[in-house]
Amino acid sequence: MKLYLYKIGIAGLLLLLAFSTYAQNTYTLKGKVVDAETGETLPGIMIQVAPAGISQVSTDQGEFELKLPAGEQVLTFSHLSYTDVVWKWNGENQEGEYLEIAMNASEQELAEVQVVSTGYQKLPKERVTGSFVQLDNKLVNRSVTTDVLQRLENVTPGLIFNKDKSDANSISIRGTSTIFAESEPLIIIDNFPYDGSIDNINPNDVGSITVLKDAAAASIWGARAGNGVIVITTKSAAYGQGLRVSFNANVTVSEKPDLFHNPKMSIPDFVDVEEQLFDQGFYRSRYNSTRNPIVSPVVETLYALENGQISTAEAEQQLQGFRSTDLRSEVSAYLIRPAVNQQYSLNITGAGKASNHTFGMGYDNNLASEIGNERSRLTLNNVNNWKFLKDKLSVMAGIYLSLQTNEDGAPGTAGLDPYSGLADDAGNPLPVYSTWSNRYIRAAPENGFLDWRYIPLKEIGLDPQRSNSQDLRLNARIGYELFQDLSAELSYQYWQNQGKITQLFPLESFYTRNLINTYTQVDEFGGMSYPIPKADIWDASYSTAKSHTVRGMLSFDRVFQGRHAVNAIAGFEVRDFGSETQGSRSYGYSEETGLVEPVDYLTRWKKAPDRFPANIPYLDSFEGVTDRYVSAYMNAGYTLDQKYSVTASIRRDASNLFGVSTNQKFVPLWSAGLGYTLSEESFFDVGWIDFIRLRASYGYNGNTDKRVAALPSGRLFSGAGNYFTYLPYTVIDLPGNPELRWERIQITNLGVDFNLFEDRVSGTFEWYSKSGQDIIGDYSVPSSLGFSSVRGNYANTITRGFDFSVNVGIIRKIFQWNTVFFVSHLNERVSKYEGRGLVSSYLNYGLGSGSGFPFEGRPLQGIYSYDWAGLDPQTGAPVGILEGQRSTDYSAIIGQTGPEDLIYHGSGRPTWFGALRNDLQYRNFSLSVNLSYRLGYYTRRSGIDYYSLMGGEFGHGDYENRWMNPGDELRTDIPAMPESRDSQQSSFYLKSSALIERGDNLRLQDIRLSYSLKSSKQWLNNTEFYSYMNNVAILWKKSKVLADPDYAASRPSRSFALGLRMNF
Amino acid sequence: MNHIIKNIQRGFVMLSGVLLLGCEGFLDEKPSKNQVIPTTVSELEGLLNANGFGMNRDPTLGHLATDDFEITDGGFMQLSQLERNSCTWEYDPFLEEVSSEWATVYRQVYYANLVLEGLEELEQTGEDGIELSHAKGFALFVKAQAYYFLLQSYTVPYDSETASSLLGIPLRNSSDINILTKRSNLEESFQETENLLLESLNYLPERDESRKKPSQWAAHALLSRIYLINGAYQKSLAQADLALALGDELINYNSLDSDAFYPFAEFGKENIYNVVMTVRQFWTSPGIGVNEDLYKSYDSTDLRKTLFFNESPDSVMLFKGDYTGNYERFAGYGVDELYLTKAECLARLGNEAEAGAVMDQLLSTRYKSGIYEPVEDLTESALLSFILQERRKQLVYRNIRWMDLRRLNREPEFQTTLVRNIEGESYRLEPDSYKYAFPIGLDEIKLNGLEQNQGYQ
Repeated sequence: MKLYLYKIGIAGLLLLLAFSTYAQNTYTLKGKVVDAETGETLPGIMIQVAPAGISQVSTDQGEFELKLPAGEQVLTFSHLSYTDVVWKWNGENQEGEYLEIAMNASEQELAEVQVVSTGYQKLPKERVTGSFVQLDNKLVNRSVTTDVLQRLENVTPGLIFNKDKSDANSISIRGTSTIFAESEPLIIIDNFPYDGSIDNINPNDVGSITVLKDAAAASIWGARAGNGVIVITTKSAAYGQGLRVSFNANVTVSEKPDLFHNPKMSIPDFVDVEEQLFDQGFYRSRYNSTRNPIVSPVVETLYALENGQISTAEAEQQLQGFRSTDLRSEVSAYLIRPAVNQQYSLNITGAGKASNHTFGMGYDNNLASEIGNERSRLTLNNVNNWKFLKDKLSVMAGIYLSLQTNEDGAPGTAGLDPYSGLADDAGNPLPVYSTWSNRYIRAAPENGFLDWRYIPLKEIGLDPQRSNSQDLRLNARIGYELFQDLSAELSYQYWQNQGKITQLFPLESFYTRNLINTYTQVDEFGGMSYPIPKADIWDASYSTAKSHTVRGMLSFDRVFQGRHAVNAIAGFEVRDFGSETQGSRSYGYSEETGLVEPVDYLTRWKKAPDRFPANIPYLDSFEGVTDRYVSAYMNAGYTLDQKYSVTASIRRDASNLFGVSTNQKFVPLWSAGLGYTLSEESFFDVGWIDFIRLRASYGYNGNTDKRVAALPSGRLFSGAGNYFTYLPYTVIDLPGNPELRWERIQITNLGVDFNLFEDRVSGTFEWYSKSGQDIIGDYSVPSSLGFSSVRGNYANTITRGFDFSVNVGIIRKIFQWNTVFFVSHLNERVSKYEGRGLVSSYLNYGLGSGSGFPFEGRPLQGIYSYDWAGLDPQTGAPVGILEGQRSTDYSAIIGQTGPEDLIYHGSGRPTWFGALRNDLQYRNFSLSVNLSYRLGYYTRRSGIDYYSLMGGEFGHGDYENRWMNPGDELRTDIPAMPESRDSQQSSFYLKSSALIERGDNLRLQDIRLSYSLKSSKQWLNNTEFYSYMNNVAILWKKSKVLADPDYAASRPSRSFALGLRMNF
Repeated sequence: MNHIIKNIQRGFVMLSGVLLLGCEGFLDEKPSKNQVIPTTVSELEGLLNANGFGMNRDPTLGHLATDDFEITDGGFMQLSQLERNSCTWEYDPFLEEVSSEWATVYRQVYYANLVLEGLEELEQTGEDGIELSHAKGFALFVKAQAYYFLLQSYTVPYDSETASSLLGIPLRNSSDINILTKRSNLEESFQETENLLLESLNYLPERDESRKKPSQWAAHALLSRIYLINGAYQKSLAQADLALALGDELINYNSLDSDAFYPFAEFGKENIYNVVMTVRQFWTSPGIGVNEDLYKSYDSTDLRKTLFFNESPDSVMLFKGDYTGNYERFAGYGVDELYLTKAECLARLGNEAEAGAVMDQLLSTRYKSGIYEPVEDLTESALLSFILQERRKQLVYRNIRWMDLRRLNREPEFQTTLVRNIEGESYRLEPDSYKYAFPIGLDEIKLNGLEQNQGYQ
């Protein structure tokens, strides 16, 4: 840590030293563009020179450098958001002249940035032919989150966060073409693919984000671009801007999670069911078993009554106690709290004409809603740019450091009886039933064991898992202008992540007591011995991951004869990623002395209480991963008269993909695009259209899955895991598939960009067609092959859709009202599938987990169900359809329904989605309200599972509204509790149409209110106070049953943030 | 800081190396350390040792259909649907899309094929040696044994008259997942199993003292079993003799401690090759005990009564006499079984005197010292009945009862109708029932077009 700070210190010193002399070239005009009001440099300003016919766009640092011919020239500086500035050049340079152009914001504030970044180059938007979405700094900063990716949600056309996956950051850009290969977009940070966890990135360091959606935009990233690319660019200073300091602080408080969101049956009902099962003798053999399996408190009470150990009154009192206790209320009262996230960041930038320096620092501290879980992150970064040799040589050096600490010390409550109490009336912690029968647990101390009770409230923070990670990124780049317009660049990134996960299980913790007890040996004379020492247990795991990336690139950029603009890049890239993880466990650990004791791993001990023989858990491990890529790429663009553009790119990737022969490793991917700025034509004369540009692109992106192999790939294990024989063994994870190919995604994109009514309305409409070829997936095979499913190229998919976004400046006076609306529509379907799926493959998807399965003509992620014919009026049993007739022969229904007989409802993911954002501003006040909608999709909801309920497990809230008497079938679709336990009835009902719901909803996603203050003091530029409310409310939903179709199990808590941002 | 700089230096050296020398070696690095395409003899043999992944496991389904055990109503309620269906012979061909036991056994076939193919490649490169030979024998044995398991579960009992017109099992000759295989007929299936075992004899060691791997000893034992099923008593006898020639030592049960939790040692003397039954809830569920009539048939001086069984609070007798010496259920090959097979074959072939002598040798070690009285003057059929009854008592909970029920039902005098009373209902399995073959999984019917067993269509 000290070393890193030292390194940053040195870089800081350089900040003071780094001013080099500036020399000018005849007929080269340099300068920068700034905002007249704020003084901020302005990137993306279009500079057009007449009559020379040269055009250029100011750089990220707001700079430009024009090579001008002799003679008077008129320079026009223009941007959508600013009023044009016209400047006359007298035909020759004055000594040392550095032009500074100040531009005034035009009335409407269209904060559209006109330069897009692909991670390889920055391009003026007027020249690109591909599909890009640019999020500027203001939009990135609009929401308040710890995580950077979440800031893309509901503001990016075509990009959606999937709610049918457990991963909160599961993103699809224009649909998903794949399931089993990598299905997430590629993330680029500062021009390089990022290998670390996105959690390491502080959103306050982010300058802008570009999302690359089609082949022309993304194919430059080749084999990993198939799911789209998200390019994140961190903040850096602009040359000549002077010293700037900005500070941001905020705190976010979230409501306590609502544990009752997912409906469950009432506790008294469940106690009744347990009593009923008891009467049937369901628990008898379990209660009497010498293995001492756990039976619930209700059952223990009922047996105690039956055996005469307690009186009827006592039993009744105990049962009453169970009926009136709800574990969810208990957890809510004792184990969760409102989450609190604090965030601070400081940015210092300083720049002269030949050097610039950025220093950033951020600190986040999050207290999770589970008491005992917290997380903090410290980020430090420093970026320096220098120019030498008459600006021909440029050098960049950057360091980014992110230190994270996580602590997870919340006790588990999964699997506890739903009426477990955590504390008595006085608030004293209570033990709950866990592990073994309570009679056995209670008697444990008398029998010479350690206290075997589990008391959740005493476990809070007792054995927290602590993880630390140090994430370091070093970037360096050297650029040299070889000839006029031709420059060479060599960049290098070194990335390293050191992770440490430790967990100390003190002797008092349940984990340690349980393990020691389990292995306690009782000899024939009743003597006790302890193969696991009565001391703490220490787990530690250390990981190191690192990657090297080197990129060499030539770039060419010239305008010939004032009308032929050519830009081209070509280069190669080599990446080597490696990680190693080493884990270990120590028994008999003493934290004071650091001593550990050896244990006997080889003996098979008889575990208590069931005497199953077992070895002491051995957790030493060593793993390593290597990931290598070699790539070459080229991209070229030509624009004629600023009207007609042609672009092309090609890339070849090779990787150490396991088991695929070398010649198959190489996949060439390419794209081509056309652009036509219609409004530049002299014949174009439509008064209300200020700008219109048409774009078309076509090409291929790739996708990989490192886990599939052409040859059977297996894993080796030592004999330690082979019970009884102790012979080393090999396991095949995936059968080999000699015909395996990489996935390819063919994309066609047609787009139009427009500005209308004096730039009052601007927008983009894009239609696309994505065709996934050789999609990798798991498909069922007869199990006589040795596997019941195999992974391979099994289908082709087609996704067609459009993204439309429009920005309207409704009122542009002192009171400003700007509306941004976008809608994305997609129609996904499988175009070819040759295999046959089993019915279960189609029915597993839809409950917030699993994956869809291909069916020709339907989306990959489709929702299917068994046909439903209501409830039997006599019995309340669910009725299905068998051979066209109503039937309750569930086994036959399940057995004889083929995939083609299932009811197909529709896509499991939204087919229409978007957002409507209104930004209002009056003097110093700004209000921004975002409504988001997701339409045209289905979800499978959970329901009452009588098979598990009658096996003694807690059930769904539907139980209350079940069929009970004839006539109920008119008001409910929820079946009656069956006479006997029948797994096929449950399987049928839970996968029937009765539980399919529409997902469509509209929600008030967030509200941001801010007040900004211009300071009269010279040292303070401006101050913004802001508040932000997220997950505000669901305004409308189609499903009457589900409280929130996107979050059936648990909904995100409403959060409220307050913050302050100051610029000095 | 130093190590970072070192890493960077290393990175540059490596990357410039790549650029100069091309990327061949650079891209040949395997992505994960413990990931491997099994090619060496030990990696290949490792596949056959993956006991935690279903290797060397005999399907429990057959046992669930036998009269070795009985079950209380409460115990019945605790079982899974599949187990309950099996206990009452109410097989539901649509319950499991993929029959888990079938899949486990075909995994064994797949692994064995991979090993055989891998070893063949090694042989082509000129590699040989004793380890390679043993591994090859191991794979051939595992494949044959898997076929034997399948033939006991998914085909109707063998009948030499009709076997070539009855359905057998898919015989897989390749690990290629693009090749589908249909069912062969029953005769071919048995023939292939026999051939694999005979071939394995050329490669296996005579004995494996660890009992963890098969040997000629085990191959002879399995061949003897298969011939017994086929009714080829002469051949069965010959194989039993060959096996006994490699080891015929019996445990004197008097030396064992009946109070021990597991009275038998792991990998003990009578254990020829340790095979275990598949893991099922059934094995640890309460309320399941040994057949009461069977339990009562053990004489009080019979040591097996206390070495094999244990009382439980459920008023059922629990079985604890596994030859595995632990909680796994033994389904392997035992020296005791060889004695019983030999005696049965001798009796069937008319050599009563020798048959009786073989029984005396075995049983004298099963009774309290000095109590056992030798077999005398039993008529031909009484002797056979006696041998079969002792076979049942000795090989209880070994997954041999199912095989015996299937083969003995061919003979009218040994036919058995099984009855189970559960929750007030009485369930029966008649000797000629189609339910002696379990239904084939839906996946095979739908994806492979296999013909379903009779009675389940």
